Amino acid sequence: MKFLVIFLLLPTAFANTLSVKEVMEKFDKLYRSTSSYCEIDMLVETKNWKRTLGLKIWTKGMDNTLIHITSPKKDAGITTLRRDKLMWNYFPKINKVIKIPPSMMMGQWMGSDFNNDDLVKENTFLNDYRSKFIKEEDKEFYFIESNPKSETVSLWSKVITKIKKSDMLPIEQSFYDEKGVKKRIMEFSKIEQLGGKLLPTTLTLKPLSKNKLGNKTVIIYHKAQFNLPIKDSTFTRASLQKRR
Amino acid sequence: MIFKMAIRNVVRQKRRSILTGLAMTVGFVLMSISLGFNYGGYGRMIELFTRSSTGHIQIHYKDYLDNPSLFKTLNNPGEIEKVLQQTPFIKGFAPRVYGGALTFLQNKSTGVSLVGIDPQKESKLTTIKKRIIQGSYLESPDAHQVLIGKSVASVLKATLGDELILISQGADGSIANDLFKVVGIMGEVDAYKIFLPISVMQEYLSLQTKVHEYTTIIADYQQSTVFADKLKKKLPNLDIRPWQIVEKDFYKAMKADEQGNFFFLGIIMFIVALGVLNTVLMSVLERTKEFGILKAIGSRPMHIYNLIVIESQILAFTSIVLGTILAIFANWWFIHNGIVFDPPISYGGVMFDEMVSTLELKVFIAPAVTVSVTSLVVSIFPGIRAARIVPVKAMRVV
Repeated sequence: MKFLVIFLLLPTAFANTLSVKEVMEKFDKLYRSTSSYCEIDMLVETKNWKRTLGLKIWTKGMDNTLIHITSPKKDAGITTLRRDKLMWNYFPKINKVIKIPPSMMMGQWMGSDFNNDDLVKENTFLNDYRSKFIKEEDKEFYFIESNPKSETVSLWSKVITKIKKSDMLPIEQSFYDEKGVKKRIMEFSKIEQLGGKLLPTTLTLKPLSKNKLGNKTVIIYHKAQFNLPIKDSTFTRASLQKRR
Repeated sequence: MIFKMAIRNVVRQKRRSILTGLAMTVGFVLMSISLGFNYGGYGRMIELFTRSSTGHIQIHYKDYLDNPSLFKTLNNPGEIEKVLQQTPFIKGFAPRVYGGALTFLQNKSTGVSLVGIDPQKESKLTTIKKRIIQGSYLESPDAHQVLIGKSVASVLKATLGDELILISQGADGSIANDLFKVVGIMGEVDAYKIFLPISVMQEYLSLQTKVHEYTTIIADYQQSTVFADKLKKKLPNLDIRPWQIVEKDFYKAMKADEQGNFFFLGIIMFIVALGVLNTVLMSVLERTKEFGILKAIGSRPMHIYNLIVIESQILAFTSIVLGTILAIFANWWFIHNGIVFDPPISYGGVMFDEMVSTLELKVFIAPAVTVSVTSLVVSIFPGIRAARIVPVKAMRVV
């Protein structure tokens, strides 16, 4: 989820040889910068149903995220707060804040293919994974294999990120489980100028496991602002229940 | 002539005839009463059971019953209702939606199963109104009101007027969450259920107008299987099952129970048969001399055999007529004054407070056949014995 929530594109000039660290740091911050405000549509499609959620997202640093659902009407007002490793959902209709317990971390977020873990843990590749270049002979793309560090709790044993060398924007990310089976794939497309930088504005997450094959979640960025001032109080439980 | 002789024999030996006849009559009445209780009891049980929620014939999406899921819905309820309305043997039907939810009240929570019902149709079809032990029934089809089970109420410490939070997964992947006011509390049978108006539940779970189940009532529950097959022809793509299949476990348990009862009926029959055999045999032995004389004056063995069989059949017939009259009174009485269970016993999730009889034809036919057949069978052996009598020897018997 950090993919969608973060990101900062630093000045586009790059030296020819970047270290893995530098590449992954750029990726980590692509949609987040130091702070961000985004408006996105999340299209969730399964064989049984299809729906579109309108979301507003505030982030600050790597640890604070507030997601507010604006549409459809039925769900409007539902808000998710993630602070450090904790996560709450607020339901205005019943005026109740529900903490997402660790056991629910693998549960889907609002029925999408993103799980709560994607939102909360959101380990950074820089800090929580060991990354290395693979297929170094490729001229056009970087291929980076990232493995979680031993102390990192992750669903994945391996994540392969494909990044275009010329603009440093991600093309595709594949997630492998502990058996080495590819479980889901995330595609980045439609590069546009947004919030002062070039970004892939469409992210498509496709689970590959048997029972979810054919499902997908598409995120479309409509509006983004980066490095704007956001108060720390935005990311508190009191703010969670505030009408927006 | 043999028939006339038989009648005379029966009438002449009044005491013996009365005793034999009485044994058969009592046997007949006993059998009829226990059969009456058997069919009546199960009939009532089935009626109560099917009327509590199952109904007689149910309609679902293909494999919903075997493997229920929120998404296995009937998507064209309008068409189904039209067909049901135009089917003469369907006396009533009601749509339902099922789901699970977590419910909260203050800091207490529990898992419940949700049942969305059409308040008006459901109350006509089932005993739901009677099962409310406190409060009232759902008032309107679109109010956020719920009937909660007894256990739900005690776990949540909920009372009438409380607002429950229900959280569930909607059919569109959303997190269904809303507030519902408790208007009634249901008894034992619905302990962990929550009933709410179907349109409210459809909106809550984002199901539009889709439903999971139609249940129907027909005039005679015994015809369920036949009519289910007929309905299948009208609604070919759906899963249509009579209550016997929907409630397999209940039906099997009931059948097993019924088998046990038939075993006891068999014992009663056997005792009656022994009594009849005894008296017929005695009457033959008693009249050895008589048969000897009959033979001596030229009766053929076949005549004597027929005589004895006809005698016992006359007795059997009289007993059946008499027994039927008595049994009608007995069963009629037991219909209006059933055996009361206090406290009521629970069977398959339905409370039975009274065991009643029935006046169905089969309650009289089965004992009638039993009595006449046993009397026929038991008269064969004495008949053969009498037919084989050697006149000289027989006449010497005192």
